[in-house]
Amino acid sequence: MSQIDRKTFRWYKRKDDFSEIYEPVVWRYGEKMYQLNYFDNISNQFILKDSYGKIDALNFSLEFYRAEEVTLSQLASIYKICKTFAINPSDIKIFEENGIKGDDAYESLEYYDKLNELTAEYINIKKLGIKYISILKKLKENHLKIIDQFIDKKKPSASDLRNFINFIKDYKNYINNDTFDENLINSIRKKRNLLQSDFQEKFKELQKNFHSITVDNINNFEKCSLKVISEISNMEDYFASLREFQKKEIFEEIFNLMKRYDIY
Amino acid sequence: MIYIEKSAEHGHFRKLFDENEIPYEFIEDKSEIEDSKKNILITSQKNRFVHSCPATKEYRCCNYMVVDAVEGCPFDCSYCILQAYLNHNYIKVYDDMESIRESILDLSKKGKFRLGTGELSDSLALDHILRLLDFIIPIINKQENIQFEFKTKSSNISNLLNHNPKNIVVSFSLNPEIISKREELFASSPIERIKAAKTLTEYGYRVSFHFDPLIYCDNFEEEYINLLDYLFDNIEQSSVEFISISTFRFVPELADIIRNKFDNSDILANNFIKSMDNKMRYFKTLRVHMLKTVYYHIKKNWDTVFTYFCMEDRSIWEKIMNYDPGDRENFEKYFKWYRS
Repeated sequence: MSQIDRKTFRWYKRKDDFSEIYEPVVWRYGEKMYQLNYFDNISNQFILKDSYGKIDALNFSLEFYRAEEVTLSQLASIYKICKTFAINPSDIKIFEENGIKGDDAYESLEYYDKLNELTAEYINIKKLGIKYISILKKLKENHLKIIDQFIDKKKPSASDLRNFINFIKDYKNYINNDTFDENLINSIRKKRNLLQSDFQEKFKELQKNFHSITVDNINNFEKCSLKVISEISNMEDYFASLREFQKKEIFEEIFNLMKRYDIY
Repeated sequence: MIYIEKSAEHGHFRKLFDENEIPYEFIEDKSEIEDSKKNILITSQKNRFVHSCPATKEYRCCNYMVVDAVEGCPFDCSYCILQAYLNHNYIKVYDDMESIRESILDLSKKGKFRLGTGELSDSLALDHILRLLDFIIPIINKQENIQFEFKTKSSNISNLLNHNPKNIVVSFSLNPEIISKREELFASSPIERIKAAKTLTEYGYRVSFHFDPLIYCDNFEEEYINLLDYLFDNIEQSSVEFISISTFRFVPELADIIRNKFDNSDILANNFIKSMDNKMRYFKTLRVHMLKTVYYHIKKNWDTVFTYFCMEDRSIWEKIMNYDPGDRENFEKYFKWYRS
């Protein structure tokens, strides 16, 4: 009897995946035998399903391990099974159910396995979504290295990672190195947004003149209006705030700054 | 490929294609065709064919009206709103010619209007197939209350030379070559568009130009000034009806579409802020700089052409042009057509 392959269909990696009661299902395909469940059951007792077609075998496995949420890593493993057996992924419902449709999405799933291990796992845990794999797939080697290092050094949140991948993609023509260097990244962004960076640095300096009140803009400087907030817990706070409201010269400087930068 | 849906099987376009030996296929329903820009779908359905150009109350807009006889475009511009707005890639063409004609005539009875195509499609790109100019221009030639604009990024103008230019403006969107090549896939080059505009002016057409969207790039000033200088060298000021200028702005969901679809695009390599109508725009200081660069160079060379900003804040109008055009109806009165 040919040896049973217990790896190909193990897309769902469950610990202690065996049963003391039920025998595993094994599917014969040509000369080979594939176990479809209870992968830690290593025995010669099994239920043979040689009447199954390729799609039946895969669907059995998907139904058996049906979970509410399927991870990107699992979807990539399922796609690998499709490739192994020349199954059309559009015939497998789980992909569409998880927003994976079309050639680019399938290619992105295939690409997932080529990612740096830490990056792949991080994207999986943070549930980043297939569109970010699609972006990574199209980046050059040096940009991928930067993202790998960013993940390794910063252990970013999902949102920070999304923003960073988007940043690398958007500014790719201006990033020529292959090392994550926060200062370099900031200087590249600043260079492309010089007017905004200059203005915001100067505005920030003027904001530092206030400690009891906060002075800010609420519409991304589309209008020159300022929002001034004061938090008062006692009369001392009250007088401190009043004094700062009277810093006429600072307010004038702020409005002059906005005028110089065409915001006002 | 051209597909004619059952609803349009006895319509205007079937007759046109038969007369001109343009091949097509009949289908029962649009679900039968591949959703691709390479496909044209002729259909007939109830629609509001003539309506106001989508404006925003937070920024100054004119009172332009649009005709939506076609939805979809064969060009592939990275910044195009159609990618986020339409739910199909194929080019949908409405075979409801009588409804379209009636809508235009009804509008004409209500007063003076500027009307045009090119909002959800390119006006000229497919004219050698659809020949909508043959339908629209004779209607417009007879109206005294409508100025009709065909807005385009193509140089497909030959059919225009078979028609009467009365009440017609042909407008060309322009960006420097370096931007057009990267961001306006399959469109004619800006040089070709300007040459086409020149041919049209020699024939007697009024032309206009839309510097929209202005896209920030390395050597922005030099690139746009060189483009403008080429324009000034080739077109007579007296033939130009108006010019519009506006910077790149987009609905937030367009960013992901651009990232996934356009590998070579540079258009998102800037900080964008969420502006008052929830569209993403360049930071105001940069925007003013870009608008000033283009506007002042136009004024230096073409001082009589009416030039306006599309969807911009009134403070920017006041700062650069020294006036605020006001709300839509008031803004419209600044157009030469309205004053004539």
